[in-house]
Amino acid sequence: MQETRQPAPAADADASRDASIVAAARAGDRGAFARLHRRYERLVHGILLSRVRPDEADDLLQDVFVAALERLGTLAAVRTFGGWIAQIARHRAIDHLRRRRPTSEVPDDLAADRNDAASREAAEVLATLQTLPDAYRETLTLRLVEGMTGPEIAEQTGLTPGSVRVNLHRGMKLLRERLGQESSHG
Amino acid sequence: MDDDRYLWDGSGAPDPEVARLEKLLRPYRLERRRRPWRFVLVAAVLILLGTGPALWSLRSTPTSRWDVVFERVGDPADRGHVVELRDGNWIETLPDVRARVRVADIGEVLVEGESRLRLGVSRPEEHRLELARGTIEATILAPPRLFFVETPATTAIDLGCAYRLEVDEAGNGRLDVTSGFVELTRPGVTSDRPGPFDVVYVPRGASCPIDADAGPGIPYFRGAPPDFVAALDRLVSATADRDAIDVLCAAPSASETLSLWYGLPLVDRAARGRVVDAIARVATLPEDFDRERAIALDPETLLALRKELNLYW
Repeated sequence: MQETRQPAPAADADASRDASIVAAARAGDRGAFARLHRRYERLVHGILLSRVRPDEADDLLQDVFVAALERLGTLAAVRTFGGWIAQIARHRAIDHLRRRRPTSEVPDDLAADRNDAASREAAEVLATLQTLPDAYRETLTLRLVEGMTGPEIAEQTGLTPGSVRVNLHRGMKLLRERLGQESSHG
Repeated sequence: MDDDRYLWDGSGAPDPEVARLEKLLRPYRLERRRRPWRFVLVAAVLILLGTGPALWSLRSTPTSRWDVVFERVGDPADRGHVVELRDGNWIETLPDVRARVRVADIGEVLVEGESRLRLGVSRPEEHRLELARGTIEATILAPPRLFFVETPATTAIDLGCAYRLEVDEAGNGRLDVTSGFVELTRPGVTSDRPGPFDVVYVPRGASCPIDADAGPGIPYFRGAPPDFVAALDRLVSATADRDAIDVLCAAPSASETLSLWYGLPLVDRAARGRVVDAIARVATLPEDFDRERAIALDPETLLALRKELNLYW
């Protein structure tokens, strides 16, 4: 079992709060949408970063929120904003990878960073993280990169805490194995 | 399961490997990648009073506050105190002075020398500036459509991005987007449901000329060949001949469909099919795409096409 998409009971209060914010945003309240943006930007960024390059994740982050704003009226259940925008982020990342321009180059700042040993290792770890199964790489990116706790991940994604805990545990085990393999081959 | 409390919620004894990876990957964290806001409160030179780069007039009922710092071009350490200005105030910079305007907690606008900028409202749901002339560089990390810059010929609406915008007194200018998207509106467009070509979306890596009378022109990616860009100029100035259409349709890259799409209404109907076909050669079209409807500039067909092409931009 990698994941179970069910609302966690402990997240009910947050979901209820989300519902009122989403309702206000749907009614055209820009301030409400800003609150949703602040609340979910780490989730969206982490999901993107588990699939694309860091500079691409920064750009796509805004794309996802633009798309969310445009489609807010189509959101059927206002209590599921986190799961909904997470799905938009996954689709946007997949579309981006499918259509990635062949001329895309590594940005200068990132290229320069790679001269630094720690940055180089970080890039390698991130690349390895991105090879893990979806459920593992997403939850691990949210935990290790974005600094979210397991309960926060569960609450924002709509996964049960148990599923997130399993994904973190198994994902970390697999990541250790793959990093170990790379170092033994390197 | 082993003791995974640290991995789960950060409690318990730190798992050394998890802690090491957290530290290693932290530079990729969203908050760490943001440009920090730093104001030097004690400055070597009080530029504002010393050189008088700013002129402002107070409105009778100011409602919005803007924090501004003036600094020497080429020597950012030579800067003044944070100045608190209000909506309705004007900033006018001398050639060797520039200003940094803080946009609430969402970003910063660097106002280059010889610029004239009016501060508008600044509230959670809207931050608005008016660039009368000169150059600004805006870096905004916020929900879309919170930050607006008005110029004589267009309004730049931030969709979460970084960009450079320059205009002259008449309103001619140019937009260069370095991150995210910017939307430029055409003069007189006020509808909540604008037509396909009433607004121009300029993505990262693209530029868009701005005409004082016509507003935004055709956006193009900055790596486009010079003859391609020259052909776009001829299209906008209504001097496009068969040669210009040939250049545009010869061998566009997938990203250059950005320019071809925005050029469609400027091409006569007879040549429009060639532009549509050029797009079809390099990009995937919507499943139910109707070529004849596109040639007829049917809004729904064109919006569906733009949505699909947007993946290449």
